[in-house]
Amino acid sequence: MIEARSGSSREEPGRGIAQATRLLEATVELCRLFAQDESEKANLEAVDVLKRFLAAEGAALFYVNGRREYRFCVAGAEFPIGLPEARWKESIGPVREVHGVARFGPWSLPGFGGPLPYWISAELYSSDSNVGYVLLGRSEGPWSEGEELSLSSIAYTIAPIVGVRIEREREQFVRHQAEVLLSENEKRLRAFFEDSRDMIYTANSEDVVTSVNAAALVLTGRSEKHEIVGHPFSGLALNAADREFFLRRIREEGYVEDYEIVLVRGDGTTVFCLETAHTLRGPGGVILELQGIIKDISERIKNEGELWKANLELAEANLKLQQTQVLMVQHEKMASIGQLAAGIAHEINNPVGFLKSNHAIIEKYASRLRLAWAEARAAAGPVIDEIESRMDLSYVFSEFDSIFAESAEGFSRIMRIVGNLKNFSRIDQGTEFELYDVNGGIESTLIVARNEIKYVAEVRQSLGELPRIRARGGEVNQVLLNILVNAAQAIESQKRTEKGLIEIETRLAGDWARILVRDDGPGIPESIRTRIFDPFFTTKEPGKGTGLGLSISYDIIVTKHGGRLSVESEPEGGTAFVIELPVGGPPPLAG
Amino acid sequence: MLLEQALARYNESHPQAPAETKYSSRGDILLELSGDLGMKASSDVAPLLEAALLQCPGRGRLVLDLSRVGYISSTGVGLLSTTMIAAEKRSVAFVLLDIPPRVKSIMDTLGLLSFFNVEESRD
Repeated sequence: MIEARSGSSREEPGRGIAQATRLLEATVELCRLFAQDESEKANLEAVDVLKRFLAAEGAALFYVNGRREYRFCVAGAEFPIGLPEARWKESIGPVREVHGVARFGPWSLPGFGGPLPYWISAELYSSDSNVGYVLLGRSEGPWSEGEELSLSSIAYTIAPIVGVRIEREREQFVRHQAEVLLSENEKRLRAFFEDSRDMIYTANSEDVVTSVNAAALVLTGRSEKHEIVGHPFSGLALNAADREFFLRRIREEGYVEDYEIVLVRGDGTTVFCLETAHTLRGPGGVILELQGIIKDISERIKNEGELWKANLELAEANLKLQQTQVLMVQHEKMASIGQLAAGIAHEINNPVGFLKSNHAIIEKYASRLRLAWAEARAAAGPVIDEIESRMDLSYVFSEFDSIFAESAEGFSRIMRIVGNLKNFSRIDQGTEFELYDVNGGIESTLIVARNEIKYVAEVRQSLGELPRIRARGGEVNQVLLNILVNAAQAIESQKRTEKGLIEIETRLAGDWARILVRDDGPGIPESIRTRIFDPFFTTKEPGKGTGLGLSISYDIIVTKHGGRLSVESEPEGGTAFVIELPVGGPPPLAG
Repeated sequence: MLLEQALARYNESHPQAPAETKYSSRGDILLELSGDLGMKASSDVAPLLEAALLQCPGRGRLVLDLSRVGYISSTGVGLLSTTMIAAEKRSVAFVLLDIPPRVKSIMDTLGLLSFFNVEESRD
């Protein structure tokens, strides 16, 4: 028990008890004050209690509350502290501290009366966040040690109660701060939700919309939120099935990212959207809510769509151009080769015609001359014999037959070549399918290609029995020419010393006429084998090939004749092209 | 990259929705997709289609079976468009087989359906 003592050295026992009682009463009063009144008014009353108890003329409480506010209680009122700490200390002057109680003075409470000579100050309470100092001043006599100890004793005794009070205040402050923050967050999130330019929505586990922001009205072309809220989301989608697919995914994965969906606006127009959403789940993984953000990407899609469309149109136009070019090249090629061949054939045909005719006449005349010579010889006798012997006429007459036979053979061959040249192009056939002799076509083509082949390869033919097939002979011959010339050029590219070999085989395979053209050239690498029928694909050096030969060939055999054109090539070399043509002509859709 | 390699790589990253390929006697390629053709899947399918196109013989057909595709994004439609263009360059017929109504509807809405060769069934 701490007793309050007077400033004198001798104390009366009764006075001591009275002082102790007063100390106890003051302490109890302060405890009651701080326990019952949690407001800051308690500080004001506490100042009064201490002022009365210690008979002070001036009293004040300086404190810092849980909100870190610096306050000052004096004369029953409370003020914020405007003076900085340094000025306070400066105004107080020198301080002497004993038993945790500071003595100073003379000093006056700023703004409250004149100076008092004797002041004491003690820390009434303190915690991490709060602190309170009481300041007491008087004019009559300095403060006794007993009074100082009483002040210390009061501070010591009320400390736990004030501590609880402060803790509670701190909790309230923290709670208040949290509430303020929550409220601000709520406002912020609400503003984010409402002011977003993208549609934000929530829906329940049945996908019924529970809330939307203002942007949803703009996006969906509705005027009131209740037109969306309370209705199934699928009602907004162009294809309800799209929403089903979305829901299946979000239920499985918990979220869906960048899902494109087409919404139908109130006026029936459609809008392309990009949605990202996730689920809120409760215990056991039960879906409580869907939360999604939907962005209007119509403009982007429109631009992309137009770009794709333009590209596709361009590609189509390009394809048509390519086909036209192929056709033109094909026609030109046919025209040039065919016309040349036909022209030559025509030019040769006439002189060969009268040569052959004259040859037949000469043969007839020679036969007549030989008969006449025999008759003359029988009639004239030795003179003729002498002439015959001198001019070796018996040998001349004996050679007549073989000379005329050889010449006849020569004429036949020329006529056949001329015929083949005319047959090769078959310009007169046009685009009609007519009966075509495959083996004859091969023979004609070999004559046209002879100059390309004869110095680089031998040609070995094994032509089987084939019926005449329905085809455009001139075009098939062009394919054969392409393949044969390619074979010769491939062999030539090897720059070998000995001649290569080109084998041609034909045979009937069911209803198909099968033509095989095989060479022993370098072969076709696997890496480009699938591309050899592509238009403009060529491995030949510039100027030697257009890259259209095989593409045109493919078109002729596959597209026009409903046939098949394939290639086989071995890594060690050699290439075989197989042409298969339906004997009866193309099926109704081909050509 | 060969089609088989591209296919193996694709199926490794899409085990739930693997792709399959079949070849006809003419060398045509049938590529069967499943799952969705969203942004991510489309970028994975692109090398597969590229490889199939390269492997498809010139003048052949690349048939893309979409019957098991549930969803297509604009990126997916874009992929089909670029494949169509690449196929035309190679004179390969690019055919879309059995397009589900939802996918068809998106392509139609984008005004691109008419550019494609569409077949209704494998036969």
